[in-house]
Amino acid sequence: MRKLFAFGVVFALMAIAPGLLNPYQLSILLKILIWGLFAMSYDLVFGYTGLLSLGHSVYFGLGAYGAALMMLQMHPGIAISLAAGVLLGGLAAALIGLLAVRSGGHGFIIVTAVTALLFYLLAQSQRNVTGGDDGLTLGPLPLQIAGWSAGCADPGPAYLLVLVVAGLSFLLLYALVRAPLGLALRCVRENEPRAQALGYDTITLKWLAFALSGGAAALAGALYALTNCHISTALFHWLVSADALIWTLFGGMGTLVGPLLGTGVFFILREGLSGIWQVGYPILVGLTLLLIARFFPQGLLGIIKGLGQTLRGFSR
Amino acid sequence: MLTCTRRDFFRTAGAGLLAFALGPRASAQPKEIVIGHQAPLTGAVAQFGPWHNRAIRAVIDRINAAGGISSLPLVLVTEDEASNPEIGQDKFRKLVLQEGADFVIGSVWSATNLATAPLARELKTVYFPQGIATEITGEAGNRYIFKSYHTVRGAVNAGARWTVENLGKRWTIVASQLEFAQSQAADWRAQLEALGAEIVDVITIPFRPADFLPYVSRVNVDRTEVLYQAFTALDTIRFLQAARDLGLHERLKILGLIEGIDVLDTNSPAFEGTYYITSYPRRASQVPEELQELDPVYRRSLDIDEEGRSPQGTVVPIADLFGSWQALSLIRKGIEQSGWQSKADNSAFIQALEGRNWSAGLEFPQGDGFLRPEDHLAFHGHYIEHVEKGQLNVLLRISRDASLYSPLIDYTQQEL
Amino acid sequence: MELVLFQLLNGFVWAWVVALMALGLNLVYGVLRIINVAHGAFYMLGAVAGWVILEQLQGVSDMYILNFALALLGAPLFVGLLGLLLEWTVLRPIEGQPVITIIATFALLLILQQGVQLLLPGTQQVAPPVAGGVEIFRLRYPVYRWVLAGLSGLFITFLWLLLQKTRFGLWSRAVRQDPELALAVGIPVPWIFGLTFGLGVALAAVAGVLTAPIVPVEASMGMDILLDSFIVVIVGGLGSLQGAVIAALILQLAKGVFTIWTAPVAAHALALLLMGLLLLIRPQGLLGTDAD
Repeated sequence: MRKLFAFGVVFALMAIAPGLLNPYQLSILLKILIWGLFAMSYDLVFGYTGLLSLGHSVYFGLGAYGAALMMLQMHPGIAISLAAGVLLGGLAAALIGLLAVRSGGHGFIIVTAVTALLFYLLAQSQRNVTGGDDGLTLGPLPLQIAGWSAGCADPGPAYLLVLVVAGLSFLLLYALVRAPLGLALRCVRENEPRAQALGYDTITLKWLAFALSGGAAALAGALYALTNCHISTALFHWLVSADALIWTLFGGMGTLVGPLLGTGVFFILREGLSGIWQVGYPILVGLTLLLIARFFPQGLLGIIKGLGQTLRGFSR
Repeated sequence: MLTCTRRDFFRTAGAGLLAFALGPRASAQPKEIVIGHQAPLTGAVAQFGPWHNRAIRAVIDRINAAGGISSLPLVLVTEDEASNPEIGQDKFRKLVLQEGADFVIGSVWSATNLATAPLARELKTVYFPQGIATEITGEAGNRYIFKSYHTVRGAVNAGARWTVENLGKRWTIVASQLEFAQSQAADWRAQLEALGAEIVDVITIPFRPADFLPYVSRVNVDRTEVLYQAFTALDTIRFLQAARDLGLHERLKILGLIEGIDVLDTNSPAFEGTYYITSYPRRASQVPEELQELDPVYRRSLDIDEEGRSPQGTVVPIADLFGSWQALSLIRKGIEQSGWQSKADNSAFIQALEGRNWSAGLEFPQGDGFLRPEDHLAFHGHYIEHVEKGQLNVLLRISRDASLYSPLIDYTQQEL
Repeated sequence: MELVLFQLLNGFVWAWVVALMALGLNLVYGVLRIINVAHGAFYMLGAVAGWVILEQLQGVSDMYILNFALALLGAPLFVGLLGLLLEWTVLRPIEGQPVITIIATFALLLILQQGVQLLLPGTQQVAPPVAGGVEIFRLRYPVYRWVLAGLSGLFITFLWLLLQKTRFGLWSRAVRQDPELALAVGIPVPWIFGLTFGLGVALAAVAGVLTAPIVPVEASMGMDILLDSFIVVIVGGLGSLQGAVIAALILQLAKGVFTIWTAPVAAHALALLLMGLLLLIRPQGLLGTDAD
C-alpha cells in the first residue's frame, strides 16, 4: 500500500512538471521517461533473468521505425502507431529469442550483439525506407489537450501521454516481476540447474522474459519516434543496448526503479557536463562502471539500502 | 526493507529533479542580441565546427567593437551538436528555449539541418543552416530558414556545362549515402540528362565504410570518362587512395565539389590531377583581381595565410566559412532595415531579407550576391579548380547567373 | 569474372585480419573464460600506437619499411604490456564473476576509446610500407594487401608454434583444461592468466597495425570489426582456435561472394545471416566441443 502511495506521489509530481519546467527541461524529462522505460525493459532480462543482452537496441529501433513508418504512411491515430511499433519489435524479439536463449551464457551475449549489427546493417542498406544515417523526420505528434498542442520543440501534452504510458508500463512490469513468473525468473538467474531440477522449463522462461522485454523496449522506441520528430538507424547500434546496461547496472539491477533512477542520473549528469567536459563524459561513465563492478554490484539502490541499514544500526 | 529503499529513491529523485528545475532559465534580455551556434565540434564533421565558431566569433567581435547592431551588442552561445541530428535537435531546443538565442547559425551537417528545420518554424526562430543538401531550400525547409551560401544544386549548375564540355560525356557517380552526397547524385543526374551526357552508373557507398575497394572496383573503367565523387572529407581521402590503388586516376578524370576536400591538404599523390567546383580559391594568388583588395582582410580576420592554412599549418575550409560570415552580415542587414528589437519583429526581419542583393565588400568578401525571395537561397560566383603539383589552381571563374535554377518552393506564400 | 575474383580476393585478405582478432578473443576466452568486449579498443590502440611510433621515427630514419616493421613489433608489445597490467589491476579482483567481468571490459572499452579521442582527436592516416598495385591475371590489386595477408598468416603461425611447442603453450593448455589441477601441479596460473590476456590483446594490436594503412585510424575504428570477430569466435566454436580461422574465412569469403550481386552493406548482413544459419545447425560451433 505504501509502495502504491509512493508511486502515486511521484506520478503526481511528474504530472505537474510541465507547470514548473521550461519546455527544454520538459523535453529532457520526457527523454528520461522514455529511455527509463527502455532500461526497465532491459532489467527484465538482465536484472531478473541474468541474461546480458547487447541486442536490445534492435527492439527499440524496430519499435521506433514501426511506429514512425505507420504514422508517416497511413496517418492513423497515436494508439495504432504505437501498437504497430510494439508488434514489430515484440515479434522480432519473440523470433530472435528462440535462437538467442538456446545459445548459453557467453553465446547469448555474442548472439545478441551480432543481431544488433545485423539489424543495423539491414537498416543502413534500406535507405529508402529508413533514411540511413540521416534518418527520418516526422511531424509533431497529432495530440491536443484543451488547446495545448504537442510540438517537436516543446513536447507539451506529448509529455503527459508518455508519462501515462510509462507509468502504466511500470505498474505492469512491477506486477509481472512480483507474480510467480518473476520468482521463477529469479530462480533461473540464481541457479539454472536447480531451477531445471525443480521442474521449471528454463528455456521457455528465458524466452518469455526476452520476448516481453523486447515488447517493452519496442514500446519505448515507438514513444521515442512519435515524440522526438526524428529517428535514424543509429538507434539499432549495439552501443544503445550498452547504454541500457549502464543505466540498469548503475541504478541497481533487478529492481525496476533502479534502471529508471540510473537513466535519470546519467541524463542530468550529461546535461550538467554538456559544454564543460562533453568529450570526457564517456570516460566518467567508464570509471563509474569499473567502480560499480568492483565495489557496488548492487548499484545506487544497493548503496542507498546499505546506507539506510547503517543509519538504522547507529540509531539502535 | 524494500519500502525503505523505495522511499529513499523517491527522495533522491525529487532532489535531483529540483536541482535540474532550478537550472538556468530562458530570460528575456532586451539589451543584447543572442546568436546561437549549433556547432559540430565533435563527430563526423568536427573539422568544420571549430572554424565556423571562430569565424562567427571574429565577425561578432568586429561588430561589437563598432558598437553592435542598432547599438545592441551581440552575444555568442555555442553548443556542440556532435554531427548528430538527434543531438542537433536537442541543442537547438537548448539554444532557443534555455539560452534565449534570437538567431541560430546551424551545423554543416545536412541531416542536422533537415531535422532542425521544423523546430525553427515551431519556435519562430530564424535559422541559418550551413549544410548544402538541396532539400533544405525546398519542402524540407520553411520561411524561417535562410541559406546564406550555395546549396548543391547551385554549385552543380555552375559547373555542369564546362565539365561536360571539357572533361567528358560518360559519367560514373560515386556518392556517399549521406543526404548532401545523395543531393549531388540527384542534381547531377538531372543536369547531365539536360546536357545530353550519359550516366554509366551510380554507386552508393555507406558513410565511412570499413573498406572502399569493393565499391571502387565496381567502376566500369572502360566506359567511363568522368568519375564524380561526393563524400565527406575523411571518406574523400580514402576514396581517392582506393581509386589510385586500382589505377583509375590514370584513365579517368576525377571531379567533385570543394566541400569534399576543403579541410584536406592536396599535397599528396592521391589528389594529383583531380578537379573541383569551388566557391572561393584556397590560395590567395588565385583570387580574381577585383576581390584582391578584400581577400587579405578576410584571411587576416580568420588567421588564414596565403596558402589557405592556419598558423598551426592545418588547412582551413576557407570557402565554407563564408556561409557563417555572410549569415551574420545578413542578420545585421535584416535588423538594421527592419528595426528589429526582439523576436516579435521576426516577420519584418524575414521580409527585409527576402530578395536582398549585395555587392562585394567587407561584409561580403566572397563577391556580389543575391538572396532569392522564394526559397531564401543565396546565389554567388563559382570557380573550377584543378590540383597540379599538389596545389589548387583556378581554371575558370563562373558567374553567379550560371548557378541559377527555378525555385523548388515559394516561402513567401507561407504565413509567418 | 574479374569482379568475382576481385571480391573473393578482398574477402580472403580481410579474413586473415578477422582471424587474428578472433584468435585473440578466443585465446582469452579459452583460458580466462572472459568475453573481452574491449578487444576492439585494443585493436584501435594497436593502430594508434603504430601511428605514434611511425611519427616519432619519421625524423630518425628514412627507411619507411624498417619503421613500419618497428611499429609492427613495438605497438603490440606496448598493448600487450598494457593488457597484462589491466588484467592484473582491473580483472583479477573480480575473477570468477562472468557478468561483472564483461561489464568491466566494456568500461575499459569506453575509457580507452574516449581517452584516445581526447588525446588524439580526428583521424590519422598511415601510409602503407609498399605503395601501388600489381596486376596478376589481369587483376589489379594493391600490393600492400597481399603483404597484409602474408604477415597475418605469419603471425598466426607464430602463435601456433607458441602454443604447441613452448612451455608457455603447454601450461596454457593445462590451465585451459583445469585451472585448479594446473595450480596443484605447480603451474603459475595467475601468470598464465595475465600473459594470456596480454597475448590476446597484442594479437588485436597486430591486426590494428596491419590494417592501419587501409582504414582510417581513429578512436572508434574497433567497433565494427569487434562484432565480426565475435560471430567468428562463436561460429568457429568458443575456445577453438582452428575453428576461428575457418569461420573467419567463411564469413569474409561469403561477404565477398555476396558483394558480387548486392551492395557491400547488404552483403555483410547476408554473410551474418549465413553465420546465424551455421549456428542453428551447429549450436556448439564448427569445431566447438564444450557447450559454453
